[in-house]
Amino acid sequence: MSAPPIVDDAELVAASRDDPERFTSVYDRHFAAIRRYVAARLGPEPADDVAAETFLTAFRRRADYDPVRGEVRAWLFGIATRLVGEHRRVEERRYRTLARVAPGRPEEGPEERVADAVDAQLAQPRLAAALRTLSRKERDALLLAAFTDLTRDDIAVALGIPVGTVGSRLNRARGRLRAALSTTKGK
Amino acid sequence: MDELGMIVAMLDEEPSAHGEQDGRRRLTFATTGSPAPRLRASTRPRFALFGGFGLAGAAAAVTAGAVLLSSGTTPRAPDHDDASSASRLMLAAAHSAERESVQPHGRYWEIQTQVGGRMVEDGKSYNFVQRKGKYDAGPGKDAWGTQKMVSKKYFGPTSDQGSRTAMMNSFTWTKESWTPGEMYEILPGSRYPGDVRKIPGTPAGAKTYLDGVLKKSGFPTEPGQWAFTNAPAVLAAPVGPQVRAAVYRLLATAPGLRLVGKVKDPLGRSGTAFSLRGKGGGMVYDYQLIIDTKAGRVLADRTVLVKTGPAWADKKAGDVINYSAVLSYGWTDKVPAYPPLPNDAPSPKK
Repeated sequence: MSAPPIVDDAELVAASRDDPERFTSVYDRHFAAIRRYVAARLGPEPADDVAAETFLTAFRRRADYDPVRGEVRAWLFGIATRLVGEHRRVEERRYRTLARVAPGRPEEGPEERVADAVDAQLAQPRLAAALRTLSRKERDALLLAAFTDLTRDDIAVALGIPVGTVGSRLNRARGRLRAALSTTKGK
Repeated sequence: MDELGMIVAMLDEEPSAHGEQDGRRRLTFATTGSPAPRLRASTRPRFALFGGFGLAGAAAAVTAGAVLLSSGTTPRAPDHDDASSASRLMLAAAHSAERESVQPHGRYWEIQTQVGGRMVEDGKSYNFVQRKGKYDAGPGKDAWGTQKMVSKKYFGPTSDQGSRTAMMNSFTWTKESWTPGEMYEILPGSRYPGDVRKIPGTPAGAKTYLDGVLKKSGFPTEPGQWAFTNAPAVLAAPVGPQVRAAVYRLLATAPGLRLVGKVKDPLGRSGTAFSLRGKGGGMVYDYQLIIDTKAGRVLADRTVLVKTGPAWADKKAGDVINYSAVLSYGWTDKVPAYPPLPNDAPSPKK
């Protein structure tokens, strides 16, 4: 007899307490998103391992997940963010490299897209340098906002901080990036 | 494009080619294992760097069944209670293994491991951690090895030589073809290698079969002790639940078997450690096997120093000098499309 299908993430996590194998559905739903976020911060190589470790950690701690406090996604991104934090040197190195590497030429395409790409490429060293000047906490908020579809409330859950603090960290971080970009555009 | 969009344009990476399958396998391994206790401490794997008496030396000692097992003349002779609780827990592992369902068959038998130890390269020694995968479709078919260095730290000069190999220097995944059938062999490379698929599903039958293979190849090792020091090769191998259970029952009878107790394996997973004491190179060490007895699964093996010797002057009793942790094993149809391992070039300079 097979168990009835479960649609809700939180129910899946709850069901996995008694039936651990159900947790693989949580993995199937969220691996790609978690891995993308981790890869953005640590690069593709360490990302596979850290993303896998995120789910192993979540699985071991599934009894601690409290649906009242927030969505499963937010909980997972919180775990991923903590694991990324254990690889600060790898993250630092990534931004340092990006700040130095001259970007390649944009591909051909519709004009605005090429213009966007050129903008992004010219800005890359400054953006990467600006990322390095952010505090880890600001970076956590900024990159969760950039690479996930989490709302500010979700980010607050993921990071275990008040929503207001998410807002102020995001504002500070974005301000810093805008400042770096305006220097670029000043040409 | 706003600043968030530009950040995404700069940092976004391609989706993972094989990471998803790898991670899923690791998770499945965890979800079908025994229930984990509530954790207080960090669950991150600790990539502590352990030394080894040269990985090659350790591997050779273990795979060739040449680990010198003491028989009652050890600094601390196993006491009777220890031995009987060790056997009891090993039998519990047998019981759990027996109940595991048969896995759906695939083309390749796959095993993923993480190894740590010390290696020698061009007169320098390094502490290292490496991830390894093996995929074997069986004798006469095809087989692949994948590897990626996780870390490698210079430790110091050594009088040993040892050439630089691409395998220990690639920090991204690479792939190379392997001799097909080795994962099905009991003594790979031997003239009479045996076949894990022929191990009978009873402890007596398994003992007789292993004894025959070992004797034919000139290893007069006691089969239980041999199986203990080569456990992953027979327990994380393409064998069914009956055979796995039989091997655990055989391990329970290994002369000198001792119980170490509850431990965390090198990846932070809870398991029960068993040990057999060995001697060599002026050292005394425990060869430990860490088993999830509730799932009947081998998690890791490691060598723990009991008495230091010249090769391990920097280590003290109780230090782990090398390990191999099993991340997952099972059948698969796919081998990851990693780039080939570069050919070994001669060392650039002396």
